[in-house]
Amino acid sequence: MKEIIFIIITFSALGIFTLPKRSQYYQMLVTQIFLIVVTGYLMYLSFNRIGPLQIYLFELIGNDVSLVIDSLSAFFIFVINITILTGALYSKGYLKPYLRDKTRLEMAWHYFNFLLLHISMLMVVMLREGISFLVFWELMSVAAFFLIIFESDKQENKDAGIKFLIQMHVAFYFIITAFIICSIATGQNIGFDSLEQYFKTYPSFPVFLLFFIGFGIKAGFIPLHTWLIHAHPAAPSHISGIMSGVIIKMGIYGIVRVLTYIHSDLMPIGVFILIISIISGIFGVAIAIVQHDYKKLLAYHSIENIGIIGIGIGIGVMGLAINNPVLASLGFAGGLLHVLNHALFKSLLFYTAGSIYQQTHTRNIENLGGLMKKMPATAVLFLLGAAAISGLPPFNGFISEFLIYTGLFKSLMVSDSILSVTLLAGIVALAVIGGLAVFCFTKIFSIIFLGTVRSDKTRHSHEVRSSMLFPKFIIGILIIAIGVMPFLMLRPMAFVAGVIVDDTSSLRDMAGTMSGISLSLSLLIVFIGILLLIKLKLSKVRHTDIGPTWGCAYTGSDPALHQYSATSYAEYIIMKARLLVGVKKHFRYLTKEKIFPSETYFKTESSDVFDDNLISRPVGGLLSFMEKIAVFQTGNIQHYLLYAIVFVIVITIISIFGII
Amino acid sequence: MIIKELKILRQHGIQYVPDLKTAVLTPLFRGRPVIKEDPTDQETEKIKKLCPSNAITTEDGFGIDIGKCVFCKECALAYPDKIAFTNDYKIASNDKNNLIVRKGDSEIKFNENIVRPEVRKLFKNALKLRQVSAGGDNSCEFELYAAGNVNFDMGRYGIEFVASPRHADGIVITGPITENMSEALQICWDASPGPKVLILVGTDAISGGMFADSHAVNRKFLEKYPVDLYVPGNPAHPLTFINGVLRLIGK
Amino acid sequence: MGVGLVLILITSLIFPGIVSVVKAKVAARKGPRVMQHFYDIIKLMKKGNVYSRTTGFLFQLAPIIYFSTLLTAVFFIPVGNYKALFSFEGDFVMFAYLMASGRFIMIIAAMDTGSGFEGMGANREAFYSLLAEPVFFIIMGSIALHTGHNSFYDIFSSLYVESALTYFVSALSIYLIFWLSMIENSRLPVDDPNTHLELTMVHEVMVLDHSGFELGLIQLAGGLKFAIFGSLIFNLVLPIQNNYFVQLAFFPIVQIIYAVLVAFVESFRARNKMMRNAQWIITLSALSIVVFLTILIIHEKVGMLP
Repeated sequence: MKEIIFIIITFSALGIFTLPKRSQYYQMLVTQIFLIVVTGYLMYLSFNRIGPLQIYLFELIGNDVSLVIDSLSAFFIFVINITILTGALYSKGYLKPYLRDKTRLEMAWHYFNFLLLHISMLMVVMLREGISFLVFWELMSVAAFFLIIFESDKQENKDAGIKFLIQMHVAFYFIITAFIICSIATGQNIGFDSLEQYFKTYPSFPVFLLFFIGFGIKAGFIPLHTWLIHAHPAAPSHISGIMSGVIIKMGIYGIVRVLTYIHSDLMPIGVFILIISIISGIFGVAIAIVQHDYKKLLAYHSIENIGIIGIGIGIGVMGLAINNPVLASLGFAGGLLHVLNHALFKSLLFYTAGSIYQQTHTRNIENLGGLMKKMPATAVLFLLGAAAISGLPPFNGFISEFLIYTGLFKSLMVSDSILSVTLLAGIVALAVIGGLAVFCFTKIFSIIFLGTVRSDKTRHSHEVRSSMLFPKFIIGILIIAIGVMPFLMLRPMAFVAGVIVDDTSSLRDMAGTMSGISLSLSLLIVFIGILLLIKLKLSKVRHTDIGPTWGCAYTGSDPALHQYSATSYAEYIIMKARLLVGVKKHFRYLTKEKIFPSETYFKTESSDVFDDNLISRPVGGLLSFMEKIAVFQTGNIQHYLLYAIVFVIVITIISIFGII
Repeated sequence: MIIKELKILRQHGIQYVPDLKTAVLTPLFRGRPVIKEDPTDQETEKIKKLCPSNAITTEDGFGIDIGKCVFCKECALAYPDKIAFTNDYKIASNDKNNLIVRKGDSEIKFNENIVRPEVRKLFKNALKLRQVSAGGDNSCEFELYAAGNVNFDMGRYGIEFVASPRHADGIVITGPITENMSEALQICWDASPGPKVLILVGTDAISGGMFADSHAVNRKFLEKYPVDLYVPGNPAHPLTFINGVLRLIGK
Repeated sequence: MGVGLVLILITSLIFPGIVSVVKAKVAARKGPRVMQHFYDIIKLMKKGNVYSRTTGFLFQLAPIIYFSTLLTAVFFIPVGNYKALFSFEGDFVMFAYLMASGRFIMIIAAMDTGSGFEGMGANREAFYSLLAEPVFFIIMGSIALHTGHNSFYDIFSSLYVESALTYFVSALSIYLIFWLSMIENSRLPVDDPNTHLELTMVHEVMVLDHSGFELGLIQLAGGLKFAIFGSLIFNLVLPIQNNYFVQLAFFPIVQIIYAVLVAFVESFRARNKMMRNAQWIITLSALSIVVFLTILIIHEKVGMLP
């Protein structure tokens, strides 16, 4: 049975190369649906069992390689499948303009890598044995690399792809080192199973740190995030959505999986995760506010949401440390539910961003404006994603944040002073992150869609075709469903958190709260409905006029020049967080030479302080050092022969004198 | 800090006029003119030459149009036995014909029949106005500002000036409506939601005053819309304005 | 439950009127009538609309959503012994985020006009509410820690049962919630609702383009916000009695005192320098941390070291 499935998948994937351009997409889609059905069935099987589901695959260097699916893996399978499916549906419309310019091989390679990404991500969450896990992890990075550099005609995209690849390999180095340490110390094979033994007998924190750095680079915690901010804008939008939606969640999966084996040293680990996550959350969203490129902005928001997930996981670990199952289960449930929620609304946001890019061919929000009139459906979907990511009811972001809040507040009462202060710091951090997210998304939505047109770029825009809208509607429905009916997610999350926490009864006790939330949200919708009806009735009776926006009847110039620009909206944050966001202003002062001043300019740009100091400066220093050494590379073969002779003479002298 | 200010408050005592409808102004105030005797034709010619703003009309007998009168009192000083100015400040009306004072008139009448029904229905308890200064000498704007101060406090009836025409129920125009302000006035009028009232305050607004013949004045706006209230005066006294508005909204 | 709701709704209609009357009396004016706010809203409901060409359906929808979120939030607040309709653990988190939803959609509507005025107001509103969020959470966290409960009704029921030190904590909390309500309603010292100078506008300028029915809803919402904060203050002030009549009598008294205080602040306090507003709001957060630390000390009865 397994062999048949394997053969079908392999041939189907390779078959993409043989088909003409139009049909390649459908081949990929069909294969993906097949994969989703198969893994969905496995998921269903795993939920109704006591222990994890185990399926033996094959033998590799003397080890048994099996698929091991527990609730955590099943949950991630669900997240992966939903995001890849909607991404694939969306890509049909998005890639259409590219079909003309790219060759058959390029498109086939893209679809093949898409499929490879899907397969490798599924295998990563289902495998426990070390070598196969690492092989598929590497395949995932390589496939993602090829997907990112799809638009390889631009140099900056290739640079972003290479940065991504290098940082993924640095991460890989950390992970494999940690695995090897565990394996050698315990004498078992490389794999997650050796972790169990290792963490029982040795201190947990150092090896956990290695794993955290490795998986954290993938996840995008600050200061390990610098690949994210280059890769997301460079990749085509359906890939950006999938990257933010699931690829970075693979890092979270890794960290949580490692945590399932750790039973000592939990408090320092928990506090450490919490602090890194708070920093990631606040810094991520603060830097996002000053961006002008909306895809970079969304990338920074992914960092912020990884921070929120990390806060949930951090307090979950702290709960395990002090044997407080309430804190532990609510923290983990909140953090992991946010994995799903973030995958949903972030992919929605990236897909709508892709639609905007397709219509306007610019990523700079200062050139957009007034798109609401031209692309109403896209605008409403973007607004939905924006409200969800800010954690506002009645959408799903609020539910996961609410779970984390409840965990924090409930544990506040049974903790000692130091822990209380830490928990309060978490509460304040979440509140501040929420406020900053509202600030950022009101800015981005308003500048792109509202007001009047700021430049010519939007002249030819119109609503995108329905094949691109359909997957976004599906995500939108899911967002609203989880938001308004959160009790649906209680039992699944109890199972998932149950992998780490033994006593998840507090989650089941939340049923009353969840129905309270649903009832109040239903009341909200009822009120809105009633008022809408009143308004509709009134509008028939009352007199309505249309006119220009009131601007004190100033007839001097074009109103579009007077509306707020993105930089002005973000001005307060730039002022208060100057060190952090690193916004530089370039302008020329007006001089007093003539009666009327001459033309001048004003430009702002921002740079990431971590990117500059951690990556660009050392790399720049290294490169300039290398350039000096490159003097030796003259290209002249006589010089190289000279180097060889000098080396031999030096070695001879040294060994004669017995130094070596 | 607060104690000191409360003490000052107590020292000042009651600052506001208790009843705006029955207040009595100083006899020096130039309010409604009375015509005790019709002047002879010769005197009429001289009075017409005296009047700086053509406020004397001789159709249907001698009359002073206080919509055009600048209250300079030259006619009363020249012929004190024929014409005199009283301190009656209730000179606002919604009918331009009622602004002409003839012999024997004892008050400026308000015409209840031409008040639009929606004005009475909506604005009895709250009226928000937007003031447009259409190129005058700012004296009426001062007086309107005073209508909202501690002394007169028209806010007690729910009447106040607001900043945005979208929030307003009516436009109050002062000044003769110059060419440069005509477009802005139209934009402001269009920007306020209906039903709305139009009030003209001051001689300049009602008739153009001394600038009526100027080429810099463009009063086409007034031909388009019905005016709900005329408040004469140069400048109009706050009590005139307030009593006029109160009569308009039916209080 | 219904009694509490009715009390809050009645307060929302009369509260702004009381504030105006007291302000006028302090300024030696005759002053408007107490019901003037109510008459204004009735008149607005009867008027027509003018919409800007730049705006879309979001602009017309926003005040409806804003008012609905506030109205739903009212159902979360208990009044004395009368339990709210929705009372569950963590309901104050939902309460805070419902109000944040309303603010979000109003900011979006303000930016929809494409005017510099509204952009300025929206920007400042987003910034100040961002800074003021932590205050509410820290205060609720502190009194949740103190009483060991997690929902509005449970917290307020058990607030005064334990010790007299609670009075100090709750006095500071009331002070902070008072200033928080001034920020939320865009009153002095953060914003001046009477002045319409660009330099100083925050909330007033955001609603510059609304008319008719929507403006009526926004003004209703203003009164409702004051009533909501007034009930919160009432809950903090009142040691729970089991006597319903005492509570019924006490509620209007607390609201009137609150309204008088608001009017006094409006009359006697000047507006902050705009650049200093952020600093002033952060000071409130710092004070709320003092509340939290006080409660920690009360419970541990030791210093900060474990």
